[in-house]
Amino acid sequence: MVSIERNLNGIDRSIRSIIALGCIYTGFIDPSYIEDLFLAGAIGGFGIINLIAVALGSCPFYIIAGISTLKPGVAQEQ
Amino acid sequence: MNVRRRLIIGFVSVAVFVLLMYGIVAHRTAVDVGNTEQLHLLYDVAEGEAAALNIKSANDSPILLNSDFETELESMVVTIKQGRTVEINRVQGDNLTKLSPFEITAILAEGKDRGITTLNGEKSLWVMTRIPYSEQFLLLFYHEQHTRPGSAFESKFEARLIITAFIIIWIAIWVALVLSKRIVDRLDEQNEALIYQATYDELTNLPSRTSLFKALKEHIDVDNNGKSFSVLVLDVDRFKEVNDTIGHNNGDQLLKQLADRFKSSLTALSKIYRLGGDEFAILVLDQRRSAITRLVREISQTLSKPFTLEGIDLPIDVSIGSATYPKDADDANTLIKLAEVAMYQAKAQHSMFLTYDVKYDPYSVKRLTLMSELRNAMNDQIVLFYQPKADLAQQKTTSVEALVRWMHPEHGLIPPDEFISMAENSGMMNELTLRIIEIAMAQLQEWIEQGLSIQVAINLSVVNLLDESLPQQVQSLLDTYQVDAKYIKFEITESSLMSNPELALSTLQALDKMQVTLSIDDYGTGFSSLSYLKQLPVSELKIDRIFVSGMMNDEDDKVIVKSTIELAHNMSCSVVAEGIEDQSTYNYLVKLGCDTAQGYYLSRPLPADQLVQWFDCCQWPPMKAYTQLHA
Repeated sequence: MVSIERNLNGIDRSIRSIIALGCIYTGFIDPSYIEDLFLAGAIGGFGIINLIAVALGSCPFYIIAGISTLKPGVAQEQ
Repeated sequence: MNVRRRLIIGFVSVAVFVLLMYGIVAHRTAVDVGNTEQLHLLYDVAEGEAAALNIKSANDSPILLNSDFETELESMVVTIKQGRTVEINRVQGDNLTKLSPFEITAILAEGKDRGITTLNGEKSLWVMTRIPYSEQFLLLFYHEQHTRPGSAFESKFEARLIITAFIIIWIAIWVALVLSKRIVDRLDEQNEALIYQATYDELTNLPSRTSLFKALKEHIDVDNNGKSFSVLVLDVDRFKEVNDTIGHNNGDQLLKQLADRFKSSLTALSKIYRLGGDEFAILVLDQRRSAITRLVREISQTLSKPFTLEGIDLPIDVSIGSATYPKDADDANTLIKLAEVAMYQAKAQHSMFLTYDVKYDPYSVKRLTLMSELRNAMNDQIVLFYQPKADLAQQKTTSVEALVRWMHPEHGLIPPDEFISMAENSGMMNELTLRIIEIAMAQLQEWIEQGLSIQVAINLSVVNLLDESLPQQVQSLLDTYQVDAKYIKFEITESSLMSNPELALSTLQALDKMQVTLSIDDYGTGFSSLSYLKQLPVSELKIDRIFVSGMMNDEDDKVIVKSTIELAHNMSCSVVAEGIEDQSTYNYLVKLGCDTAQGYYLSRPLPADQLVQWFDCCQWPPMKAYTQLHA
């Protein structure tokens, strides 16, 4: 199992979860607002990626950008 | 605001600006396209309505819009007469009742069959089509507030624009974060490299002068309860010569090897820096007096093994000067400068190590004036004071040490510290020493005539030792004053021997041949080797006062004194302990078997006449009371 550096704190994960669920709903469940299949798929996909990030506690973009919303010292290897 | 934040804000601002421009243009295009579509649809409706109207009125009479005319749109039938005037025949819809023919003409003025206008503040689309088989036209108006046939297009476009805009901004933010991190990391790396360059010396990997200043400032600022520390400045002797001989590349290698040896020999409480060229500095945080002495000894031992470069063995000597905070100076610049002054003085005196003393400072005006007056002072202002040395075995005083003083008409009694170094630096030392010997011999002659049998010990400096004509001149004085050589003793400091050991040895051997007695002064502070000591024709060792004066409170000093006494006796030398200041020290030295005692406990240095009185009353047992009475 590859070890992943966690970098999302509680607030970050909560906000992401809300946005992710909203995106999944708008993209896949009721895409009527968007009226474009491609965009709906993109938004839904974005929601799924974020849900995965929340589950892992780690955002890959945070890793590349070298930022973390977790307090230093609290970061753990999974 | 730090670099990273600025980069991110800048990047995202540009992205937002670009998106805004693009979005506005795209939206306007969408609206135009939407309008065009709507007008097209409207025109089709108008044509259909016009055709329907035609069927209803097949004859040429004016067409009337009747109640069968079904449309949600507002419409009118107009007749365009010659000259483009308009006659409204029939109108359906409320808003149009207020329109005059003139306004209709204006609307139709461009000669188009469709367009967009504003009626009563509302955006209205209009189309015009000829009613078939008639001279009349059907004019249809459509207002914005009704549901639009083309709006689906616009709303789709708008939704797409907005969502795409958000996605692009989101991407822009991430790209900005990643780029900024990379840029900032790279800047930090470069920064660190620059800092390293500034604070470390490239050749030796030792911290540089900048680091030393920083460290000094830190220790000075902190200053816990006035804790003192010392700065030593170290310079390689004759480095320029060495460099010119072996080449600059090898010179650099030498410095590197030197640095490596120093690094390995230093204790935890000292740190070495390279100041530049062949100059190094050591910061000694250990406050103990003995720490520096120990350190200098270690350096001397480190350098005892020659350096090898390109197969050549190079013995290297250094001169070291030290200054102490806060005693000598309380700022970094001055501390280093004073340590350098002491170092140059050590170089001039050919001694390895000197602590800073204000008398070394060549720049005081008083010093320069005195220097010019010294030559003239030799004849009548130089006097000798004599400090008794008690022979403990014989329980009497048989010798004295002659100490020079300058009776300056203006400044009064000037002690030797202040003018001896001046004399050395200005090349007057030989003259001064000969004058001292002359005065001593004249005094001896007088005492001998009075029946006193006293040996006089005279201090020789390093300059005298290296003067090959000294023995000859001493002999000539002995002859002139008819004094037996056994009454003269020369004291030579251990450190002055080290400047040129071979030449010093030959001078001493010449003096020894003349039956003059020789003594090593300040023993224990000169870093000489025992093997060299063995060769010297000396019969006495004088233990330096730094070991004697505090020895009752320091076990280390006691051990040093005891072992020096034993060493001297094993080498068939007698021992003088200098710096005895109290009874307990005196008693202890007697116990250790010391041969001679000298110090304030017995007597301070006295002028010749007071000395004679002292002999009469107070020489045994040693009485400090006398000196107190006559202080």
